[in-house]
Parts: sequence; C-alpha cells; structure tokens
Amino acid sequence: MKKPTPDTRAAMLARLEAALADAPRPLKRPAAQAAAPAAPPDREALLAAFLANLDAAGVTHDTAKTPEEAAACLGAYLRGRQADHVAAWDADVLAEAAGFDVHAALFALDLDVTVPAGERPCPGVAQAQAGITAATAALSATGTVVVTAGPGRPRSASIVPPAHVALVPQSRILPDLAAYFATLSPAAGLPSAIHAISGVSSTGDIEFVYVRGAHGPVAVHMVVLGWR
Amino acid sequence: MDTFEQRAEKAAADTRLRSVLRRAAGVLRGLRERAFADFGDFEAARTRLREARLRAVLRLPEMLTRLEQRVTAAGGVVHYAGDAAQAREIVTGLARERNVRLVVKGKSMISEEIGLNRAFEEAGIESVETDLGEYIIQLAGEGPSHIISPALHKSKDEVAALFLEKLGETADTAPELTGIARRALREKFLAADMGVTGVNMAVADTGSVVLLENEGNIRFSTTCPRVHVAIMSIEKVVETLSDAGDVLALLPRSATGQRLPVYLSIFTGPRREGEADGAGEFHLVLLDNGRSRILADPMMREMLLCVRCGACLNVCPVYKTIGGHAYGGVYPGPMGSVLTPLLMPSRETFALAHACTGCGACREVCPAGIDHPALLMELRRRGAAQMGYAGRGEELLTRAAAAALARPLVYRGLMNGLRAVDPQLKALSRLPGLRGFARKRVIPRLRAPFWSRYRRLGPKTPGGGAR
Repeated sequence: MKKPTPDTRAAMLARLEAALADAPRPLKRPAAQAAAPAAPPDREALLAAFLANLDAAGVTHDTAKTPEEAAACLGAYLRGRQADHVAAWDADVLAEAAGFDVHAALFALDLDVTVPAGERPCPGVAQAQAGITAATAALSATGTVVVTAGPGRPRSASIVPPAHVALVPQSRILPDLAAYFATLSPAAGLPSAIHAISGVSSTGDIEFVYVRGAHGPVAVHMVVLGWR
Repeated sequence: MDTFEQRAEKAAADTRLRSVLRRAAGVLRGLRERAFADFGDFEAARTRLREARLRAVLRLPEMLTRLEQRVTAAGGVVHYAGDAAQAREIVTGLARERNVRLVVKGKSMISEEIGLNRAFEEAGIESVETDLGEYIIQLAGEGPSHIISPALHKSKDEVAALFLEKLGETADTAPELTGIARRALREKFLAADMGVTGVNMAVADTGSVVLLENEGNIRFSTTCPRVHVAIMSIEKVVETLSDAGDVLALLPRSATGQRLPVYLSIFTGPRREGEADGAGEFHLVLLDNGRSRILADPMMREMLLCVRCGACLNVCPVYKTIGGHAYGGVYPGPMGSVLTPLLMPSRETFALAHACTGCGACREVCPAGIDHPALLMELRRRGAAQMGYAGRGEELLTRAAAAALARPLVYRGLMNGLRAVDPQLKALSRLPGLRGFARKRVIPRLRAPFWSRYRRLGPKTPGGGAR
C-alpha cells in the first residue's frame, strides 16, 4: 500500500490550484442586507411557537414560573419515569444555568446522581434512567434544544440515558438556527461540540416504519424556566 | 463481472424489488414534497445554497488550508489522502498505532467509496456499522442501495430472518427489530476505542465539521470512544457558518423531509481541558480520490456542488426501476451516474451515463441546481469519444444511425419500411450486432393524424363541442 507522505498535502493543493487556473472567479458574497431593524422577538410568541413545535416533535414539556415550580416539575417527570438514578451536568454549571440548585433538588428526590467522569464515563452514564442538562439555546421554529459541551457539561448526559431532560431558560429561546449561528463568533472559537436536538432518537430504516428510540433517548422532556 | 446493462435488466425483471422501490421512492418523495409545501421561495433558497457551495468550491485550496489551520488550532489533526488507498492506510494506521480493537462507524458514503470496512477487516480490527440501515446491510454482506436509506431494498421479513441468522434473535415488528439492534449496538458503543464518521459539511472559518443524523449513533460514536476520525471528500467545505446555514436550509428537507434532523452536531476539535467525555483525539481525513480532476473540468465541476441529499434518486424513473445495486458502484441514481464515471473512468462506468431518460425530474428537485441530464448527455458523448466502441461493427452501426437520424426523409422511409415489414423488429434482433438494441424495441404504430380522425368524428358531434 502507498504510504502517505507530507508531499501528499502539497501535491493535492497544487493539483487543486492547477484545476482552478481557468475557473471563473467565485461570486462576491452578497453584502449582508442591512437587516431591517428587527422587531425584538416577542418573548411569549416565541415560547408559544417553541412549545407547539415540541409537541409536533414528540417532546414533552413543562413551563415553570419559579425555581420551586421547576424543581417540582423535574421531580414529577422523573418520578413518572420511575427513575432512581440520573446522570447530570456539574452542580455549579446547572445552578448557574437554571438559577437554582438543581443537584439539591435531585437529592431531595432521593435520586442517585452521577456526574460523568473518569477514563470511560459512558458505561456509568448508561446505568442512569435520565440525563439532566441545560440549554445554551432553544430554537422556536423547529422545537430544538441546543446543548454545548464544556467543562462540567458532558456530552453523554444528553445521549446515553433513555431519557433526556433539558432545562431551558426562557430568554434562551431564539427564532431559528440562523439566529443561533449569529450568536457564535468564529474569532472566539466554537465549543468542542454543539448538539442541536430536535425530537427523540428515531429511525425509519426498516420499511420506513417510524421507530422512537433508535440508539439514544426514547424520551426528551424540557422544563422551560419562565423567570430566566 | 456482468455489465451494467445485464444488471439493470435483471433488476428490472425482479418484480418484488420493483414494488419495494416504488413504495420506498414514493415515501421519500412524499416526505420531501410535504416539507416544501409551506417552504416559501425554493428558488431563492436554492440560489443561496448554490452560491455558498460555489464560493467554496471555486476557492478550494484556500478553503482547505483555512480549514486545516482552524482544525489544528482547535487541537485536531488534519490528514491529506490523495486516493482511496492512502485514506485506508491513514485510518487503519491511526487505529493500529493506538491498539484499537473495536471501531464503531457512522454511515458514510466516503467510507464505502474507499472500502474502509474491508481494510479494517484485513487489519484484524472489528468495525461495526451503527446506522441501523448500514448495520443491516453489513450483516447481510451487501452494499448500500440508497445514499440516505441504505437498506431500503430489504423487507422487514428479510431483516427478521437476517437477525435470527446473525444475532440469534428475531422479532415480527420494526420497533422490536430496532430494539434488538439497539441492544446489540449499545454494547459496541460502550466498548469501542474509535469512532469513524463521515462529514456532511465542514466550515473553514471555524474549523468545524457538521454531521446530521436521526438515530444518535453518530453522537455515541463521537462521545464514548477515545478517538474520533472524520473522513470527508474535499469538496464538502463551506466558508462560513452562515453558508452552512444556507445548506442546512435545504439539505434535511431534501433528504428526509425534515426541517432539521433529530441530531445536528457541530464538532470543533477534540474534547478540551476539563471536559469529562467526547473523543480526546480528533482526526480529519481530507480525501481527493479523483475530485481534483473533476474540479479541473469546467462542465463537470458542477457535480462538486452536490450535498448528497438523495432527492434525485427518489424521483428518477431509472432508479425506481432498477434500484441502487444495479449501478454497480457506491453512488446510484442520477448523482451516481454522473459521479461514478468521473471518479472511476472506464468503459464499464461510462455505461451509467445511459441510465437516464432525460426527464429532468432530478434537476427539478436538486437543492444545488445541478443539471444531471445535461451532464449525462456530455458523458455519453465523451464515453463514445474516449472509451472507444466495442468493435468495428458498433462504430459502423453508430455512424449509419447518425446518418439516418440527420436525414428526415431517410429516417421516415426506414421507419415506414420497418413498420410495414417487421414492426416487432424480430428479424432485426436475429442479427448479432443489432440483437441487444432490437430485442427490447418495437416500431410504434402511428395514430392517424388528428385532422383525418376529426373528419371522421365530425358528423357525430356537430360543432365539434364536447357532449
């Protein structure tokens, strides 16, 4: 077998340069249209559309007006799933995102809480019945929750357990994906992983029969934090 | 090796396959149509996607070096592979150096193109396809028959029998069968050392790769194993996140009728300091494998705009008749008929250029606005010019046919003669050189011209109006 050499790179780039020698110049990027002074999106309208699209995507949801209410919603949902063990993001990260001590609320429910850690966190997280995360953003148009990786924000919590519960501060609800992309800055760098999740893990690979729960969560639940 | 014509004929005669294909293409087409029913201005969105892709493809060296620089800055490693053998060597080498024993794979047409599973097998490394459709065809020892839904040719009962044979467990319904695969693959995800995925798109400005899926297998493959290797063909880069947004506005809708897939993932380098999971190493393999040659071709360059949505397959009358396997390569349907001969020019692959009725349905649905029929016509011409004729006989016949077609009187005379003497072309199909052509054709009977039929109808319907 041919062994790739450092020259492979130079040779490939030279081939591509040569290939484009006679090519037309690419079109200029259209000047960003002076965005019509967008009316500040109506908080309540965004929420209403978001919830409707969650329903359409088969995602359940609660809307809480206070931290106490949010903790109660979380408890009711987890009890409903007969969870005794959850995987969650770090206490500090969740508390900062949600504005209340989420871990304390979970302990109050007498749940085992795993914070993914160690050489191979996935097998441990796989023992949990739910994963608790917080939204970096939510997209109204598609019923999407955006979770981003970072310290204390493990990726496994939103994919490995059979249920994913995301806490969504209402102020994080944006109109759509383009609006979320506009908040990212290439100069500042992107998080190591951004996951935009719309609905539950699913497949249609056998005769196009829609099946919920292909590899990831069979259930996704959002708790919208109305005061945040 | 049988020829494309032989495979196509055999597939077209398979009535079970044809009914499966008709249904599958119908479902996928319906999903797409529903997604665009309330979409707004498709043409404007198509122009935006096309321009975003063009801006990158026409500056490919710049885009790739910027991508490389940003991926590297984020802690990833970029590898350049000139051809399939180099790509296989890079990926299996990464696995060997790390003593990887088990690889979990996301669905990737590029890994099919380079024959990666075979290479892993030869290296003694277990590689498991984890997309349900890919898992099914891997168990069956087959290739994909559709770029979006690789096991679309398999019925539920076939999957049930396959699972019983290979996994020792089976069920009657799609959800139960999916459950069996879920349990089997879960073990693999938790034990794997390396995840290998394709790339739907890379963003040069941010050094990111974008991956779309519904099942979550790509998320597992990038979250649990310690190494993530992403393989992309060089043309899949765009410059900015906003360009990526323009592609994403149409790609999932065109592929599966979804506004967004369940999981849209954007990876920028490996896991960082302080992060608990995600692959600790990120490798991006950039594969040329003939694409620089396509880029140098002013007309065929167009094909590098393709975003692999598969919409052209679902509307193609040829694909719906013969299915994906008959095309003989990795890429079927209109996009495959253009791409395969360009990537691997040979007499055999140029035959695919004839798998087109010229109906133009693919062009209508293509989110990148690629005119497949026009490209296929050009490939037919090049096939004749560059790949040569099968023999002196074929060349003479082709010249004779061209001469007749260029002279309406001669053509009409010939047709009238044949219509009178041998409308079924039975005699003609006994001639060895003409057999293949004449056997499948008849001279159509002509209807009397309208004016003569009108005269006959005239008295019965005074005034010619409908009753």
